[in-house]
Amino acid sequence: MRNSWGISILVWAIFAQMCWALKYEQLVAGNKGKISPLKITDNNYIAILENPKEDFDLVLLATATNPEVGCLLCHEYAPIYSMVSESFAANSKGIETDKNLVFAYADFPTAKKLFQKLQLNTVPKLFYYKAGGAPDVTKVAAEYTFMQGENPDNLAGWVREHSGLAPHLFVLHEKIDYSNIALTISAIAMLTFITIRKWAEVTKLLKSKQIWQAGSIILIILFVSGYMYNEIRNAPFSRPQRDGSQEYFASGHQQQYAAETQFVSVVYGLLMVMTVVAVSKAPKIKNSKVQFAVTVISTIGIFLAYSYLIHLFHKKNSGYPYHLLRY
Amino acid sequence: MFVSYQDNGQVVISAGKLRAIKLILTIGIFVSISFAAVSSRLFSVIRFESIIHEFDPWFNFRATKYLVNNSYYDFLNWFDDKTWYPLGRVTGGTLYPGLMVTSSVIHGMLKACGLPIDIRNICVLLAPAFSSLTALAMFLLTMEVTNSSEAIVSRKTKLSSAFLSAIFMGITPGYISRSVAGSYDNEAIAITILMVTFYLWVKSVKLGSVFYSALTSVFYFYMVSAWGGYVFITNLIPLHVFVLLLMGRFDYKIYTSYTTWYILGTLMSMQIPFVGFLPIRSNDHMSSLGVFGLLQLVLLANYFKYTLSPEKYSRLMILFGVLVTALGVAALFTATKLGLIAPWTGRFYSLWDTSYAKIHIPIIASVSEHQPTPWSAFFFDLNFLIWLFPVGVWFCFQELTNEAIFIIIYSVLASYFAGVMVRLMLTLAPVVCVCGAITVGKLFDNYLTFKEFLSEQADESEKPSESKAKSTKTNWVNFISKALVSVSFIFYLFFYVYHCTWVTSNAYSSPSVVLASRNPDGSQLLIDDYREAYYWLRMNTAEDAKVMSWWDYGYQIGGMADRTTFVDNNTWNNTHIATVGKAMSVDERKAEVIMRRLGVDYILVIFGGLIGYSGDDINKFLWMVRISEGIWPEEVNERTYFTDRGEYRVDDGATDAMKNSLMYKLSFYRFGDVFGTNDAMDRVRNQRLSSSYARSIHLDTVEEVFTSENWIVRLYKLKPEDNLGRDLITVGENERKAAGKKSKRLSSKKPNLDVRV
Repeated sequence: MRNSWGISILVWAIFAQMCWALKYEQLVAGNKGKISPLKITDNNYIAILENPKEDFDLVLLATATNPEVGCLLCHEYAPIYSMVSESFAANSKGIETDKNLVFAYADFPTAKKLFQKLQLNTVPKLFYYKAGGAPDVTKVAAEYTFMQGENPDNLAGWVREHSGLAPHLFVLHEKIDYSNIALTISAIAMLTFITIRKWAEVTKLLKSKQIWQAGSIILIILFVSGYMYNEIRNAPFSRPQRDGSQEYFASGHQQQYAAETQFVSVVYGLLMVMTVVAVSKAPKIKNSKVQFAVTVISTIGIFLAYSYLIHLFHKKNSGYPYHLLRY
Repeated sequence: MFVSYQDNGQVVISAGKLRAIKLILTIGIFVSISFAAVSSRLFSVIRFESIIHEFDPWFNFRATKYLVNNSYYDFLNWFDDKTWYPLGRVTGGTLYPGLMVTSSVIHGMLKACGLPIDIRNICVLLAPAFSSLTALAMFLLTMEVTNSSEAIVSRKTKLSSAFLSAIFMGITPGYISRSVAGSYDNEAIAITILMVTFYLWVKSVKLGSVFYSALTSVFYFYMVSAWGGYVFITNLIPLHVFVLLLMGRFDYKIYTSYTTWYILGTLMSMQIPFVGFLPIRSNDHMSSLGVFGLLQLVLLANYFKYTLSPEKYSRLMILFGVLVTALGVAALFTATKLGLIAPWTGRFYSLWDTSYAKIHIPIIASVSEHQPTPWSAFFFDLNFLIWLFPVGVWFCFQELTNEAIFIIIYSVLASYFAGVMVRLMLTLAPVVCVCGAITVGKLFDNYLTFKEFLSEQADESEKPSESKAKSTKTNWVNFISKALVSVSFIFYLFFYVYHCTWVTSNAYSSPSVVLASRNPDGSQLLIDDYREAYYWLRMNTAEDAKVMSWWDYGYQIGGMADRTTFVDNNTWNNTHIATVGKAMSVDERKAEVIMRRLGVDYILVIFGGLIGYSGDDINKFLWMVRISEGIWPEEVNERTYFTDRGEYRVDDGATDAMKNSLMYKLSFYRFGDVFGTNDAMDRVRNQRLSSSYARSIHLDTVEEVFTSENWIVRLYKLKPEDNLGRDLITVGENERKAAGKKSKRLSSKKPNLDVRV
């Protein structure tokens, strides 16, 4: 409770400061020194970017990490950008530099007004603003060109070139993800502990055929329903349409949403269970009526699920000529 | 004639006759499967003609012709000076010779039989021919997998399962995609060899026979000589053995077959010049080496187990384990540090670390067949087998024989690979067919038998009347459920055939050298510009003329026009590609310098603006810019080819860099003339070039020598340097000034746009 009060006071303090033009010192003070990269929103962009007293250069990354926008490069670029800006912050900490430099980023849904002013149609964009250029946000000193195979060195070099600051300020520090390492270590420790304590159970589990069976079949179903595509391409779950509804199926074989994998894997799972029942479980049932019912239900179930699968396939490939049932 | 009738009405047939009938039926089924497999691959031959497809097959074809006309040793030492001018390419040492050797052997054999068939026809029809062999290999593999276990598939079903897997494989689009007639590529024979190798491996593990494992390694060698995908075998077989060891199934059969295969196979694979010492250096082969070592240790441990007391044995084992692990890790680190092995790099590694290729090997990441696979591609290529596939794996778990474990490992691994990379669908398709066939076979075993029903119908007359009604009822119920299941699955099988035929005919049968289009009245129109232009080159240029084009067309120019190229689809030298890209991206003055330095005679560009062919050079232009920017970032800049608003424009509003670039000028030179006084319309980019602007595009250092019927291929000749030592561009400018004064316009020839029938 107390914590949240503290945060709201802090937010208020920041907001109050942003109502008038900010100087570099104030910007740093307002954000408790941690300003890399600074998030620009609809609320603060006037104070920071359209600032007549501006005494700092500013690097602005206009991006859209929201999965609904589906900007792959934005996702890939975010860690590169934060690495460069954090390295710069660490390098310049406590050092008087000839020039103040601020790294900032604006994410699409939270900085709509700024995007409108800049007339951006495509993301990501990276701009360099020289001090004193304000209040015109479109007066960009330089724009960065994104290339194939982006790496942090390109970005650091570009910023160095335009700011004219000393190269040692741009030495990159690989950020070590301690939480990830800690998680891995603790997980391994847990597993080792469990294995040693419950050796008999663990070996029994590892030797259990059912576990391996279920594991491999789940893996196979995931892989054939496009799970790796989502992992590699960082596919959005779905995409909102103009009328506010959600589109769950991207047409064409080149694209896929994460929702598709969920739909399709469920359909494959159902089909599999019903086929197993029809092929090997039903013939073993002694009671002939039950056997009849199970066989007929599973056959009809297979037919319905398969026609639904073909229906889904039609959404991907509109030229496909065959149907089973039309949903 | 075949049967005799007994007094009690039973039919008797002798065992010999029965075997004969079975044999005839088996052969008949195989012939039909081969016929289906081959004929579904002939769409392109029937629609177009017997022609080599796409890009890479043209190189394979050219190499095959070289092999047929020269000796095998000449072929291995072939230094090709007609590509990568002026560097050349050590072709013999940088290709997998299996495909070329196969077709030249077939060519030689047919010739010896007195059937002199053109090598082109052999190359075109090689893939369909091998597909019927693949079906046979699939049959054997499925038989082998299901043979030793009643739980997976019962004895009487295994034959139908095996036949089903053969026909599934014969027509599945996942395999057809790489084996239609004319797609003369390594995969055409590699999948056949892959299946034979797996069959032999499964058999040799079962028998522990040196003979079969030696055969396995012979086919492994054939695979290594044919396709880079042999790495799949190199890793799958060790993994299979490793899993068997973990399950405590070590026996001398496994030991014999694995060590025989590994030693012979590795030694043989090193005989291929392109592979060389890779099997002991690259990480792709480390697992097979590791398992080989492990097997020796397990053998030793096995020996001690029976000779030492249990406590001594366990102490020894702990010591042994620690020692081996420490030594192994240390050896791995030192070897990596010394640069003897490179475990964490390479193409295969990029399958595990999926972001690896994107960062380190962009040229791999940019190829469309290396993209991850969405679910629809699986369904597109495998139809209903994709949901029968997990069911088949389920049945493989019913009894975990060594063969079933092999199928399970293969399934999981191949579905992962196919998910990461579209083209690896090819390796998944066979195992999907095996699993699907096991499922359908089992299903038909249970449901497609009406023997009981028929015999009970026959017996009914003899039964007492009260039980008769009841038994008839259950009988009919039974019949209906059986009929329902059988009919629905037979329907799915028909559906499968329709699906496969549709996919094959629509998606996988275009040669992409000849394009098919439709006239307004619906009749077919063939666009044959590529061959027209290549033929022109062949007939009208000097034999040693050097043609500059983007690398996509390198193999085709070499294969069809037989002229020297600068870059081609082998893409081994990025700098050279970038040089060509730079010549295309910069203005005429700079381009002339580059072209003179390279020794260019002709320039070939692909332009689709007139008929709306979207795969043209202007659409690929950004790759040329990007690749040359990678080498000369200060001279070429991708951003300058986009307008301020980030648009890619080719009309009046294009940027100066775009308008001045050689590629742009070569594409649009005299484009305005086609449209008379109207605005010129680029039908690919849907942009309109104003008439006056389109006419003002001029070229000074090169002259147009040929433009194909639909303007898809345009050929230019680099003008010789001026006799008086003047600058060609200045000369051109002066001439234009003079012409402007006289207001005389050169009369221009309009290309003939009528349809050629």
